[in-house]
Amino acid sequence: LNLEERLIRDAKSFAAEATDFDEEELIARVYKTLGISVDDSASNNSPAAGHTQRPAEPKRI
Amino acid sequence: MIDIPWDRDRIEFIKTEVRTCTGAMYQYARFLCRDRRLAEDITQNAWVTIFKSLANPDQSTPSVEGANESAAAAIHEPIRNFKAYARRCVFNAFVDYLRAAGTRTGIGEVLLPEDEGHRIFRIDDKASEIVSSLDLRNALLQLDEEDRALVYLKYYKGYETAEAALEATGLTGSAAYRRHKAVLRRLRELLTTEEASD
Repeated sequence: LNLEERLIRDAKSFAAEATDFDEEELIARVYKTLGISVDDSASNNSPAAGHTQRPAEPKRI
Repeated sequence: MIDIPWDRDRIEFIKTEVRTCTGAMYQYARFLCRDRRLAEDITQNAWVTIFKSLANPDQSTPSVEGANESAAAAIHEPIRNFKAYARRCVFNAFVDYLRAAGTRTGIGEVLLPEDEGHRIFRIDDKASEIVSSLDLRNALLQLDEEDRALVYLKYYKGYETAEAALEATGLTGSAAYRRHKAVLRRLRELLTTEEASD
């Protein structure tokens, strides 16, 4: 196999692995570690608070 | 938990960035270590680094492009390229893990993917494929951060070459394609060296 074929094959294997996690759980864990209250964003984003923002779109890194 | 007094703008900024970047940071961590739990730990540690660097104006923090404008303005050192900075923090957290006493000894070591350890011994015809894959991952870890990001974005995240080169290196036009070729050449050299030493 040439290099690009090896990369593509490895990327296929990675693609299956990369989505095997609970993103919301990890985000909650990071918030907790950083001492950020999740409730704040929920209340700030509630219709009662006058905001109806959609959650931010995930970024590609 | 980290206790840093932050104003509301910064808290909102970091909240948004955590929500939008954590999944991608996890995937990059997973690309580096190929282990779910470790990738989660690395992602968390990277966020701690980012959080502390944003809280400390004396630390050298790279600039971030595309960061939330008003919140970014509230940060002492505006970050111009948050995605690149996040990737670097993930990689540094991964290297810290490798260097930790009693765990791993150096960056040249590649973790065996969590679901592949048993296969090496059970399925002979898979062995060479897996060893080949480990050689590749080891070589990827030896690239510099920009080059590794270019390969990651192009081959593992499906970016076009120009898009990957721009995102990873800031290069455009023919320079982007030259960089891509140079990275592949470097990777081939690393693989040749590794395979010769096996």
